[in-house]
Amino acid sequence: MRRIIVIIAALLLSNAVFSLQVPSRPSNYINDYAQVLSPTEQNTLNAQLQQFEKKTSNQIVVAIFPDLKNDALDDFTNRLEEQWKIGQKHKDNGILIVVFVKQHLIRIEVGYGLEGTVTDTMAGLIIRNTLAPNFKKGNYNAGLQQAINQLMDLTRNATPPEKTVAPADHTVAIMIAIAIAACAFCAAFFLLPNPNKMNDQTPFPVSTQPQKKITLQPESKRKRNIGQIILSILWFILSLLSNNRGGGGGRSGGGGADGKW
Amino acid sequence: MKKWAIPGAILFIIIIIAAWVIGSYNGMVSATQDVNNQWSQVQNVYQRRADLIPNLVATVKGYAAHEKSTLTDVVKARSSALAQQVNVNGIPSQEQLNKFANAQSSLGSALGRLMVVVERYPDLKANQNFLALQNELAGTENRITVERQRFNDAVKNYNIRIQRFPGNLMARSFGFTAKAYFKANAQAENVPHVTF
Repeated sequence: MRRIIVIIAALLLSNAVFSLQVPSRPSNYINDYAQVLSPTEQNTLNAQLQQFEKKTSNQIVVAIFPDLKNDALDDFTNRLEEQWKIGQKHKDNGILIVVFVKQHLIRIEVGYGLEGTVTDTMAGLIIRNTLAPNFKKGNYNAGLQQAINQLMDLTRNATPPEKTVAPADHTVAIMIAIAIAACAFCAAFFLLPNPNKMNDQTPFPVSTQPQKKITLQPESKRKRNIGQIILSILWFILSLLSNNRGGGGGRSGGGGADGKW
Repeated sequence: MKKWAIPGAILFIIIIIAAWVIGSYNGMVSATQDVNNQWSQVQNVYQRRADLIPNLVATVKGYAAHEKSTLTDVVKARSSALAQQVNVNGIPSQEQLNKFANAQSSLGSALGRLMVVVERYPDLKANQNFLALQNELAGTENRITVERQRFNDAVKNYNIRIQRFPGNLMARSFGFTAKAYFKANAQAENVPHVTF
Protein backbone atom coordinates (compact mmCIF):
# COMPACT_ATOMS: atom_id res chain seq x y z
CA MET A 1 0.00 0.00 0.00
CA ARG A 2 2.75 2.41 1.02
CA ARG A 3 4.67 1.58 -2.13
CA ILE A 4 1.66 2.46 -4.27
CA ILE A 5 1.31 5.83 -2.55
CA VAL A 6 5.01 6.57 -2.99
CA ILE A 7 4.85 5.65 -6.69
CA ILE A 8 1.74 7.74 -7.24
CA ALA A 9 3.38 10.71 -5.52
CA ALA A 10 6.46 10.33 -7.73
CA LEU A 11 4.23 10.10 -10.79
CA LEU A 12 2.32 13.25 -9.88
CA LEU A 13 5.55 15.06 -9.19
CA SER A 14 7.08 14.07 -12.52
CA ASN A 15 3.89 15.04 -14.34
CA ALA A 16 4.00 18.46 -12.72
CA VAL A 17 7.54 18.89 -14.03
CA PHE A 18 6.47 17.91 -17.55
CA SER A 19 3.43 20.15 -17.76
CA LEU A 20 5.58 23.10 -16.69
CA GLN A 21 7.97 22.45 -19.57
CA VAL A 22 5.24 21.97 -22.16
CA PRO A 23 2.38 24.47 -21.81
CA SER A 24 -0.99 23.01 -22.61
CA ARG A 25 -1.78 22.79 -26.29
CA PRO A 26 -5.22 22.07 -27.72
CA SER A 27 -6.11 18.49 -28.54
CA ASN A 28 -8.09 19.51 -31.61
CA TYR A 29 -6.68 20.27 -35.03
CA ILE A 30 -9.29 22.93 -35.72
CA ASN A 31 -9.36 25.61 -33.06
CA ASP A 32 -12.02 28.12 -33.91
CA TYR A 33 -11.95 30.81 -31.24
CA ALA A 34 -13.86 33.19 -33.51
CA GLN A 35 -16.78 30.83 -34.14
CA VAL A 36 -16.82 31.13 -37.91
CA LEU A 37 -17.14 27.36 -38.46
CA SER A 38 -20.11 25.20 -37.51
CA PRO A 39 -19.52 22.21 -35.19
CA THR A 40 -20.11 19.80 -38.09
CA GLU A 41 -17.60 21.59 -40.28
CA GLN A 42 -15.08 21.48 -37.45
CA ASN A 43 -15.68 17.78 -36.88
CA THR A 44 -15.20 16.95 -40.56
CA LEU A 45 -11.92 18.83 -40.76
CA ASN A 46 -10.73 17.44 -37.43
CA ALA A 47 -11.41 13.89 -38.58
CA GLN A 48 -9.55 14.46 -41.85
CA LEU A 49 -6.53 15.95 -40.15
CA GLN A 50 -6.45 13.25 -37.52
CA GLN A 51 -6.43 10.56 -40.19
CA PHE A 52 -3.75 12.45 -42.06
CA GLU A 53 -1.53 12.56 -38.99
CA LYS A 54 -2.06 8.86 -38.36
CA LYS A 55 -0.92 8.08 -41.89
CA THR A 56 1.93 10.53 -42.38
CA SER A 57 2.69 11.84 -38.86
CA ASN A 58 2.47 15.35 -40.32
CA GLN A 59 0.42 17.72 -38.18
CA ILE A 60 -1.70 20.47 -39.69
CA VAL A 61 -3.33 22.67 -37.09
CA VAL A 62 -5.70 25.58 -37.67
CA ALA A 63 -6.28 28.43 -35.22
CA ILE A 64 -8.89 31.10 -35.93
CA PHE A 65 -8.86 34.11 -33.66
CA PRO A 66 -11.38 36.94 -33.63
CA ASP A 67 -8.91 39.79 -33.06
CA LEU A 68 -5.14 40.29 -33.15
CA LYS A 69 -5.46 43.45 -31.02
CA ASN A 70 -2.14 45.32 -30.98
CA ASP A 71 0.10 42.32 -31.46
CA ALA A 72 2.27 41.76 -34.53
CA LEU A 73 1.24 38.82 -36.71
CA ASP A 74 4.67 37.19 -37.07
CA ASP A 75 5.46 37.67 -33.44
CA PHE A 76 2.21 36.15 -32.29
CA THR A 77 2.38 33.14 -34.61
CA ASN A 78 5.98 32.43 -33.63
CA ARG A 79 4.99 32.43 -29.99
CA LEU A 80 1.96 30.28 -30.70
CA GLU A 81 4.07 27.81 -32.63
CA GLU A 82 6.65 27.72 -29.88
CA GLN A 83 4.04 26.97 -27.24
CA TRP A 84 1.95 24.51 -29.19
CA LYS A 85 4.96 22.72 -30.67
CA ILE A 86 3.16 21.49 -33.74
CA GLY A 87 4.68 18.54 -35.54
CA GLN A 88 6.52 15.53 -34.20
CA LYS A 89 9.61 16.01 -32.13
CA HIS A 90 12.84 15.74 -34.20
CA LYS A 91 10.76 15.71 -37.40
CA ASP A 92 9.39 19.24 -37.02
CA ASN A 93 6.70 18.34 -39.52
CA GLY A 94 3.98 20.73 -38.43
CA ILE A 95 1.99 23.36 -40.30
CA LEU A 96 0.01 26.01 -38.47
CA ILE A 97 -2.65 28.08 -40.21
CA VAL A 98 -3.52 31.17 -38.21
CA VAL A 99 -6.43 33.45 -39.12
CA PHE A 100 -7.43 36.77 -37.59
CA VAL A 101 -10.98 37.54 -38.58
CA LYS A 102 -11.10 41.20 -37.63
CA GLN A 103 -7.80 42.19 -39.25
CA HIS A 104 -8.34 39.91 -42.27
CA LEU A 105 -4.89 38.42 -41.71
CA ILE A 106 -3.68 34.94 -42.51
CA ARG A 107 -0.40 33.28 -41.74
CA ILE A 108 0.79 29.80 -42.65
CA GLU A 109 3.67 28.83 -40.42
CA VAL A 110 5.72 25.86 -41.62
CA GLY A 111 7.89 23.73 -39.35
CA TYR A 112 11.60 23.19 -40.11
CA GLY A 113 10.99 19.68 -41.44
CA LEU A 114 8.50 20.74 -44.13
CA GLU A 115 10.20 23.96 -45.26
CA GLY A 116 11.53 22.20 -48.33
CA THR A 117 8.11 20.85 -49.31
CA VAL A 118 5.89 23.78 -48.43
CA THR A 119 8.13 26.64 -49.46
CA ASP A 120 7.28 30.22 -48.60
CA THR A 121 6.19 30.59 -52.22
CA MET A 122 3.79 27.65 -51.97
CA ALA A 123 2.39 28.97 -48.70
CA GLY A 124 1.98 32.40 -50.29
CA LEU A 125 0.19 30.88 -53.28
CA ILE A 126 -2.22 28.98 -51.07
CA ILE A 127 -3.02 32.18 -49.21
CA ARG A 128 -3.42 34.29 -52.36
CA ASN A 129 -5.27 31.79 -54.54
CA THR A 130 -7.23 29.67 -52.10
CA LEU A 131 -7.72 31.20 -48.68
CA ALA A 132 -8.06 34.88 -49.53
CA PRO A 133 -10.67 34.58 -52.35
CA ASN A 134 -12.86 32.27 -50.24
CA PHE A 135 -12.51 34.30 -47.08
CA LYS A 136 -13.45 37.42 -49.02
CA LYS A 137 -16.81 35.83 -49.73
CA GLY A 138 -17.12 34.68 -46.14
CA ASN A 139 -16.60 31.03 -47.06
CA TYR A 140 -14.28 30.13 -44.22
CA ASN A 141 -15.02 26.44 -44.35
CA ALA A 142 -14.56 26.11 -48.11
CA GLY A 143 -11.32 28.08 -48.02
CA LEU A 144 -9.86 26.07 -45.18
CA GLN A 145 -11.02 22.78 -46.67
CA GLN A 146 -9.34 23.54 -49.99
CA ALA A 147 -6.18 24.88 -48.38
CA ILE A 148 -5.93 21.83 -46.13
CA ASN A 149 -6.41 19.54 -49.13
CA GLN A 150 -3.62 21.33 -50.96
CA LEU A 151 -1.32 21.15 -47.95
CA MET A 152 -2.10 17.45 -47.48
CA ASP A 153 -1.38 16.75 -51.15
CA LEU A 154 1.90 18.61 -50.89
CA THR A 155 3.09 16.92 -47.73
CA ARG A 156 1.64 13.44 -48.17
CA ASN A 157 4.89 11.94 -49.34
CA ALA A 158 7.18 14.37 -47.59
CA THR A 159 9.82 12.72 -45.50
CA PRO A 160 11.30 15.35 -43.25
CA PRO A 161 14.92 14.60 -42.47
CA GLU A 162 15.02 13.11 -39.03
CA LYS A 163 17.28 15.17 -36.84
CA THR A 164 20.17 13.37 -35.26
CA VAL A 165 20.03 13.78 -31.53
CA ALA A 166 23.10 13.86 -29.35
CA PRO A 167 23.11 10.81 -27.08
CA ALA A 168 21.76 11.68 -23.66
CA ASP A 169 24.43 11.91 -20.98
CA HIS A 170 23.35 9.99 -17.91
CA THR A 171 26.72 9.86 -16.17
CA VAL A 172 25.83 12.34 -13.45
CA ALA A 173 22.42 10.92 -12.71
CA ILE A 174 23.84 7.43 -12.47
CA MET A 175 26.62 8.61 -10.14
CA ILE A 176 24.14 10.38 -7.91
CA ALA A 177 21.88 7.36 -7.94
CA ILE A 178 24.82 5.15 -6.91
CA ALA A 179 25.78 7.57 -4.17
CA ILE A 180 22.23 7.72 -2.83
CA ALA A 181 21.88 3.96 -3.04
CA ALA A 182 25.20 3.46 -1.24
CA CYS A 183 24.22 5.96 1.42
CA ALA A 184 20.84 4.36 1.94
CA PHE A 185 22.48 0.95 2.06
CA CYS A 186 24.82 2.17 4.79
CA ALA A 187 21.90 3.69 6.66
CA ALA A 188 19.89 0.50 6.40
CA PHE A 189 22.68 -1.71 7.65
CA PHE A 190 24.60 0.37 10.14
CA LEU A 191 22.23 2.88 11.62
CA LEU A 192 19.21 0.64 12.20
CA PRO A 193 19.35 -1.94 14.97
CA ASN A 194 20.62 -5.21 13.59
CA PRO A 195 18.09 -8.05 13.77
CA ASN A 196 20.84 -10.67 14.13
CA LYS A 197 22.23 -8.84 17.10
CA MET A 198 18.84 -8.80 18.71
CA ASN A 199 18.49 -12.49 18.05
CA ASP A 200 21.78 -13.04 19.84
CA GLN A 201 20.45 -11.26 22.86
CA THR A 202 17.34 -13.41 23.01
CA PRO A 203 17.83 -16.76 24.63
CA PHE A 204 15.54 -18.58 22.20
CA PRO A 205 15.57 -18.85 18.42
CA VAL A 206 13.02 -16.67 16.73
CA SER A 207 11.06 -19.50 15.19
CA THR A 208 10.19 -21.06 18.50
CA GLN A 209 9.04 -17.80 20.02
CA PRO A 210 5.91 -16.48 18.34
CA GLN A 211 5.87 -13.25 20.42
CA LYS A 212 9.37 -12.35 19.32
CA LYS A 213 8.21 -12.26 15.74
CA ILE A 214 5.80 -9.51 16.58
CA THR A 215 8.53 -7.34 18.07
CA LEU A 216 10.77 -7.91 15.07
CA GLN A 217 8.17 -7.01 12.50
CA PRO A 218 8.16 -3.23 12.78
CA GLU A 219 11.90 -3.21 12.36
CA SER A 220 11.95 -5.30 9.19
CA LYS A 221 9.10 -3.14 7.96
CA ARG A 222 11.20 -0.04 8.48
CA LYS A 223 13.94 -1.62 6.41
CA ARG A 224 11.52 -2.39 3.66
CA ASN A 225 10.31 1.20 3.71
CA ILE A 226 13.82 2.46 3.20
CA GLY A 227 14.11 0.08 0.27
CA GLN A 228 10.93 1.53 -1.15
CA ILE A 229 12.12 5.09 -0.74
CA ILE A 230 15.39 4.29 -2.52
CA LEU A 231 13.45 2.58 -5.30
CA SER A 232 11.09 5.50 -5.72
CA ILE A 233 13.97 8.01 -5.77
CA LEU A 234 15.72 5.95 -8.45
CA TRP A 235 12.46 5.62 -10.34
CA PHE A 236 11.89 9.36 -10.14
CA ILE A 237 15.39 10.09 -11.48
CA LEU A 238 14.86 7.61 -14.30
CA SER A 239 11.47 9.11 -15.16
CA LEU A 240 13.12 12.55 -15.39
CA LEU A 241 15.74 11.12 -17.69
CA SER A 242 13.34 9.41 -20.07
CA ASN A 243 11.88 12.82 -21.01
CA ASN A 244 9.07 11.35 -23.04
CA ARG A 245 6.72 14.17 -23.95
CA GLY A 246 4.51 12.31 -26.39
CA GLY A 247 2.97 13.95 -29.53
CA GLY A 248 4.04 17.43 -30.52
CA GLY A 249 7.46 18.89 -29.89
CA GLY A 250 8.01 20.17 -33.41
CA ARG A 251 9.83 23.44 -34.02
CA SER A 252 9.50 26.09 -36.64
CA GLY A 253 12.02 28.70 -37.68
CA GLY A 254 9.64 31.31 -39.00
CA GLY A 255 9.17 29.74 -42.43
CA GLY A 256 5.88 30.18 -44.26
CA ALA A 257 4.01 33.18 -45.56
CA ASP A 258 1.42 35.70 -44.54
CA GLY A 259 -1.24 37.59 -46.38
CA LYS A 260 -4.46 39.53 -46.27
CA TRP A 261 -7.92 39.14 -47.72
CA MET B 1 30.52 -1.24 12.11
CA LYS B 2 31.22 2.40 12.98
CA LYS B 3 34.64 2.32 11.29
CA TRP B 4 32.83 1.95 7.93
CA ALA B 5 30.83 5.11 8.45
CA ILE B 6 33.63 7.68 7.98
CA PRO B 7 35.22 6.22 4.82
CA GLY B 8 31.69 5.69 3.52
CA ALA B 9 30.78 9.32 4.10
CA ILE B 10 34.03 10.50 2.47
CA LEU B 11 33.41 8.26 -0.53
CA PHE B 12 29.86 9.61 -0.75
CA ILE B 13 31.08 13.23 -0.74
CA ILE B 14 33.76 12.44 -3.36
CA ILE B 15 31.18 10.83 -5.63
CA ILE B 16 28.86 13.83 -5.25
CA ILE B 17 31.65 16.34 -5.98
CA ALA B 18 32.85 14.32 -8.98
CA ALA B 19 29.27 14.15 -10.26
CA TRP B 20 28.95 17.91 -9.91
CA VAL B 21 32.25 18.58 -11.72
CA ILE B 22 31.38 16.22 -14.57
CA GLY B 23 27.84 17.55 -14.76
CA SER B 24 28.75 21.20 -14.90
CA TYR B 25 31.60 20.61 -17.37
CA ASN B 26 29.34 18.61 -19.68
CA GLY B 27 26.63 21.22 -19.29
CA MET B 28 29.02 23.94 -20.43
CA VAL B 29 30.13 21.85 -23.39
CA SER B 30 26.50 21.32 -24.44
CA ALA B 31 25.73 25.01 -23.99
CA THR B 32 28.71 25.89 -26.20
CA GLN B 33 27.46 23.49 -28.82
CA ASP B 34 24.02 25.08 -28.65
CA VAL B 35 25.53 28.51 -29.31
CA ASN B 36 27.60 27.07 -32.16
CA ASN B 37 24.59 25.39 -33.67
CA GLN B 38 22.45 28.46 -33.36
CA TRP B 39 25.14 30.62 -34.91
CA SER B 40 25.21 28.42 -37.98
CA GLN B 41 21.43 28.74 -38.15
CA VAL B 42 21.83 32.53 -38.13
CA GLN B 43 24.40 32.29 -40.92
CA ASN B 44 22.10 29.97 -42.87
CA VAL B 45 19.19 32.37 -42.89
CA TYR B 46 21.38 35.32 -43.86
CA GLN B 47 22.89 33.19 -46.60
CA ARG B 48 19.38 32.36 -47.72
CA ARG B 49 18.60 36.06 -48.05
CA ALA B 50 21.81 36.65 -49.99
CA ASP B 51 20.91 33.79 -52.33
CA LEU B 52 17.53 35.30 -53.11
CA ILE B 53 18.92 38.67 -54.12
CA PRO B 54 20.35 37.94 -57.61
CA ASN B 55 17.00 36.52 -58.68
CA LEU B 56 15.13 39.44 -57.16
CA VAL B 57 17.41 41.99 -58.81
CA ALA B 58 17.03 40.26 -62.18
CA THR B 59 13.24 40.28 -61.89
CA VAL B 60 13.06 43.92 -60.83
CA LYS B 61 15.46 44.93 -63.61
CA GLY B 62 13.03 43.61 -66.21
CA TYR B 63 10.38 46.10 -65.10
CA ALA B 64 12.29 48.93 -63.52
CA ALA B 65 15.56 49.14 -65.41
CA HIS B 66 16.10 52.83 -64.70
CA GLU B 67 16.15 52.31 -60.91
CA LYS B 68 19.77 51.43 -61.47
CA SER B 69 21.24 53.13 -58.40
CA THR B 70 18.89 51.35 -56.00
CA LEU B 71 19.66 48.03 -57.62
CA THR B 72 23.41 48.64 -57.54
CA ASP B 73 23.15 49.52 -53.85
CA VAL B 74 21.54 46.18 -53.14
CA VAL B 75 24.15 44.27 -55.12
CA LYS B 76 27.02 46.11 -53.42
CA ALA B 77 25.54 45.65 -49.96
CA ARG B 78 25.07 41.97 -50.71
CA SER B 79 28.68 41.38 -51.66
CA SER B 80 30.03 43.21 -48.63
CA ALA B 81 27.65 41.26 -46.38
CA LEU B 82 28.84 38.02 -47.94
CA ALA B 83 32.45 39.09 -47.42
CA GLN B 84 31.76 39.56 -43.71
CA GLN B 85 30.10 36.19 -43.54
CA VAL B 86 33.17 34.41 -44.84
CA ASN B 87 35.29 36.04 -42.16
CA VAL B 88 33.35 34.56 -39.29
CA ASN B 89 34.36 31.03 -38.42
CA GLY B 90 33.01 29.41 -35.28
CA ILE B 91 31.35 31.47 -32.58
CA PRO B 92 32.08 35.13 -33.33
CA SER B 93 33.63 37.66 -30.97
CA GLN B 94 31.72 40.83 -30.19
CA GLU B 95 33.77 42.76 -32.76
CA GLN B 96 33.17 40.21 -35.51
CA LEU B 97 29.53 40.05 -34.62
CA ASN B 98 29.14 43.83 -34.79
CA LYS B 99 30.80 43.94 -38.21
CA PHE B 100 28.60 41.12 -39.40
CA ALA B 101 25.46 42.81 -38.05
CA ASN B 102 26.38 46.14 -39.63
CA ALA B 103 26.98 44.61 -43.05
CA GLN B 104 23.75 42.66 -42.87
CA SER B 105 21.72 45.64 -41.75
CA SER B 106 23.09 47.80 -44.62
CA LEU B 107 21.91 45.05 -46.93
CA GLY B 108 18.58 45.07 -45.12
CA SER B 109 18.09 48.77 -45.62
CA ALA B 110 19.20 48.63 -49.28
CA LEU B 111 16.57 45.94 -49.78
CA GLY B 112 14.05 48.10 -47.94
CA ARG B 113 14.70 50.98 -50.35
CA LEU B 114 14.30 48.62 -53.28
CA MET B 115 10.95 47.46 -51.96
CA VAL B 116 9.78 51.07 -51.68
CA VAL B 117 10.82 51.78 -55.27
CA VAL B 118 9.02 48.66 -56.44
CA GLU B 119 5.74 50.05 -55.18
CA ARG B 120 5.73 52.39 -58.18
CA TYR B 121 5.56 49.53 -60.69
CA PRO B 122 2.11 47.88 -60.70
CA ASP B 123 3.10 45.46 -63.48
CA LEU B 124 6.03 44.22 -61.45
CA LYS B 125 3.89 43.84 -58.37
CA ALA B 126 1.47 41.62 -60.30
CA ASN B 127 4.26 39.43 -61.68
CA GLN B 128 3.96 35.89 -60.27
CA ASN B 129 7.70 35.43 -60.12
CA PHE B 130 8.06 38.66 -58.18
CA LEU B 131 5.24 37.71 -55.81
CA ALA B 132 6.96 34.42 -55.14
CA LEU B 133 10.26 36.19 -54.48
CA GLN B 134 8.47 38.59 -52.18
CA ASN B 135 7.09 35.63 -50.23
CA GLU B 136 10.51 34.07 -49.97
CA LEU B 137 12.06 37.34 -48.89
CA ALA B 138 9.39 37.99 -46.26
CA GLY B 139 9.78 34.42 -45.00
CA THR B 140 13.54 34.89 -44.84
CA GLU B 141 13.29 38.13 -42.88
CA ASN B 142 11.01 36.34 -40.46
CA ARG B 143 13.46 33.47 -40.16
CA ILE B 144 16.26 35.94 -39.49
CA THR B 145 14.31 37.43 -36.60
CA VAL B 146 13.56 34.00 -35.16
CA GLU B 147 17.07 32.59 -35.49
CA ARG B 148 18.71 35.75 -34.15
CA GLN B 149 16.41 35.60 -31.15
CA ARG B 150 17.27 31.94 -30.61
CA PHE B 151 20.98 32.68 -30.96
CA ASN B 152 20.71 35.30 -28.24
CA ASP B 153 18.76 32.87 -26.06
CA ALA B 154 21.47 30.24 -26.52
CA VAL B 155 24.18 32.79 -25.66
CA LYS B 156 22.23 33.91 -22.61
CA ASN B 157 21.83 30.34 -21.44
CA TYR B 158 25.57 29.75 -21.90
CA ASN B 159 26.62 33.00 -20.25
CA ILE B 160 24.40 32.43 -17.24
CA ARG B 161 25.83 28.95 -16.89
CA ILE B 162 29.44 30.08 -16.86
CA GLN B 163 28.95 33.24 -14.80
CA ARG B 164 26.76 31.99 -11.99
CA PHE B 165 28.35 30.73 -8.79
CA PRO B 166 29.66 28.04 -8.40
CA GLY B 167 29.72 27.32 -12.12
CA ASN B 168 32.05 30.29 -12.64
CA LEU B 169 34.81 28.50 -10.70
CA MET B 170 34.54 25.57 -13.11
CA ALA B 171 34.30 27.85 -16.14
CA ARG B 172 37.47 29.66 -15.16
CA SER B 173 39.47 26.51 -14.61
CA PHE B 174 38.30 24.97 -17.87
CA GLY B 175 38.68 28.19 -19.87
CA PHE B 176 35.06 28.93 -20.81
CA THR B 177 34.57 32.61 -21.58
CA ALA B 178 31.47 34.72 -22.13
CA LYS B 179 30.05 34.88 -25.66
CA ALA B 180 28.79 37.94 -27.53
CA TYR B 181 25.13 38.78 -28.12
CA PHE B 182 23.73 39.72 -31.51
CA LYS B 183 22.64 43.29 -30.91
CA ALA B 184 20.33 44.94 -33.36
CA ASN B 185 21.79 48.37 -34.10
CA ALA B 186 19.97 51.52 -35.16
CA GLN B 187 20.30 50.63 -38.84
CA ALA B 188 18.79 47.22 -38.31
CA GLU B 189 15.50 48.81 -37.45
CA ASN B 190 15.06 49.68 -41.13
CA VAL B 191 14.51 46.08 -42.14
CA PRO B 192 12.60 45.90 -45.39
CA HIS B 193 8.92 45.98 -44.82
CA VAL B 194 7.42 43.74 -47.44
CA THR B 195 3.77 44.41 -48.10
CA PHE B 196 1.35 42.57 -50.31
